[in-house]
Amino acid sequence: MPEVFLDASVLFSAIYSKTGGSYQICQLIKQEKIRGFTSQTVIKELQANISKFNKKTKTSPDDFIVDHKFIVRTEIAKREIKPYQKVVAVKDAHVLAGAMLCRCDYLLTLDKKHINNKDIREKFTESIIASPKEFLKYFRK
Amino acid sequence: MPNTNLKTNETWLRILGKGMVTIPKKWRSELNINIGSLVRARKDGETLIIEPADKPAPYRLYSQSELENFIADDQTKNKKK
Repeated sequence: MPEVFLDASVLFSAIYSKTGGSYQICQLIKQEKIRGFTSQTVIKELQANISKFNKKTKTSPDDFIVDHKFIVRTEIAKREIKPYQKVVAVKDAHVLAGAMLCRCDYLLTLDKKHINNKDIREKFTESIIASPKEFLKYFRK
Repeated sequence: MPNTNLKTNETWLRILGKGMVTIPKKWRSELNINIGSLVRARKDGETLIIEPADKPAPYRLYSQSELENFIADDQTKNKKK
């Protein structure tokens, strides 16, 4: 079973839109067709971004994570992101660290600017960095 | 006190009642250990290690447009917002 790590951008889109790839990924996790991981740091990032977003949602991030049967890694510590600070910006290093510490096959993100770009994909080889749509293409083959 | 040479980053500490020990003030300041702070203690063979609690990794706050783009880019049937 593929193991995927979801960052805050994917969880954010899944909470706000049921017509996107992120929501489909979360449904596959809920149906136990793939195994979904995230971290407490990602959840904190998600909560902070939802709080500042101008559209409100009734979905609680915590309930969403529990309902979709995610496996949640404890908060990523500063010392754990050190190996990745040379690869990505310090604020994004926890995402790479989380995927690596959970030993996931895929790191799913919608953040093309800071994470899912050619330079970082080449430097970070512990997991395959992909968008939800890219992963779904692979998964359905 | 045992007649053993100490390294510069070591010191002798006397164990008080109930196993209490005083961490030197200089070290507490350097490691930001204050009254009421939690520290992590680990027994490693014959060694006892006391570490300050881990500091959490920082995370990113996205702009409004970045958040809207995540939802738009994620649509599977060209259903852009």
